[in-house]
Amino acid sequence: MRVFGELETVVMDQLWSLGGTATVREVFERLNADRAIAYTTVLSTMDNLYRKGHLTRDRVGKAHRYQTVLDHAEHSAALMREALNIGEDSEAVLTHFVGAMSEDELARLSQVMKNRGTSA
Amino acid sequence: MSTAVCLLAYSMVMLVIGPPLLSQVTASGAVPRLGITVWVAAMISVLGAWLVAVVLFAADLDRAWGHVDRLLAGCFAALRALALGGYGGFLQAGLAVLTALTVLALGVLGARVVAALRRSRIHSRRHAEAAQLATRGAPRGPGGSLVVDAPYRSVYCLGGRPRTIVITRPALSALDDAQLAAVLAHEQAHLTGRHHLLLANTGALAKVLPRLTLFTQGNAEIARLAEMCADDVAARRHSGDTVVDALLALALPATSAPGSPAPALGAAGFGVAERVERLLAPPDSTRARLYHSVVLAGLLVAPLTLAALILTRSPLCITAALG
Repeated sequence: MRVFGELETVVMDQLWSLGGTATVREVFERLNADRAIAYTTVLSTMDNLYRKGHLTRDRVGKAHRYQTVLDHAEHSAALMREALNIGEDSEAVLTHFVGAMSEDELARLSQVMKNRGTSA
Repeated sequence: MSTAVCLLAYSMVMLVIGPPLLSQVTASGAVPRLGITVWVAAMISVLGAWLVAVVLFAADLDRAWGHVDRLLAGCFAALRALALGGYGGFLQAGLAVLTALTVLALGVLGARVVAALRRSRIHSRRHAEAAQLATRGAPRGPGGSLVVDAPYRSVYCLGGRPRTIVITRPALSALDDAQLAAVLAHEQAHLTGRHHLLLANTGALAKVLPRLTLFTQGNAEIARLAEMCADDVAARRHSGDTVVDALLALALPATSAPGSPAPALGAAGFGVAERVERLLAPPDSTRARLYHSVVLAGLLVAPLTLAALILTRSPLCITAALG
């Protein structure tokens, strides 16, 4: 399970550095250069990413050509958007160290800090 | 039957007086863990009351099916005369419908809570995976965290499998080593305290029962108290001042670029100012502990009293229900 997650990460990294589009063979050849990996493993990983909605694909001849749905910057931005707006279209449970602060709260905080400065 | 009515009455009372009473008792956050316990106990007592009431309704109906006299003797003694007048069958049918509806309502409620829990688990896992993809296979950051490039200062964690702490790069560079250690201790406290599991459950209840403040307000209060719990753990290990400095480093708007608005953090805040005040001047915990204990004892005694009434079949409840 963990290994799989790691592989998905590595495959996405390869796709992003290939400009966002590649066939399974192209990704396999780049990965195989620095680690022993089976072609079918790469194939099923990319199929998984396709099913999870991270990739789209077109049939080109006998093979599929895969495209990333978002480039890396867009993916990170979407992640943070979701992290900061939990409760609208996502129901992930996550706890922020610091949440949003209203004007009132900022004012109250600076008052607290002023008191801290005088009492210390 | 009468006991079931009493249980429902208890849950009504709890739903009305519970939220204001409990939020007052837990407001200071002097003993956040005990505060969470009190809220959870109140929620469980209401849900438990509903469940037992339904079981009793169904059992009563089952026992009395075809024995109109006994049903009425046990349940609506005062209405007996009416029943003997020929309304017995009608009454029994009405009760059957009522019981069926109550069982159905509780069943639907349970199914919706389970569905909401499942959704939140799936979304959490997807988010953790997306965070992993965002790091592009880069080695993990401090404390096994995922360091993500984003224009915000943000630190958060996800429970479940895999447990994940996400730190954005601007947040990482805003913290010194001691502050970072304190932040990580705070997030670890969430994970080891299984706060996500708790919040997933109370969150699901709040979504399914949006009109009952015991669950909606309770969910928000528990989230606030969970932050305070984690603050306390971090403060014990790295001093309260370090936690305060970390909170300020991440909370205050960047001073570097005047005129440009601070990145809008959309996440719900749980009173940063309040947490800072609390860390700098911890509220008196002795008295708070006493109040919490009294409320908790009350939450235990009320259902136990009802249980005693069930066992002794005391008529007290019938008169109470009819009167």
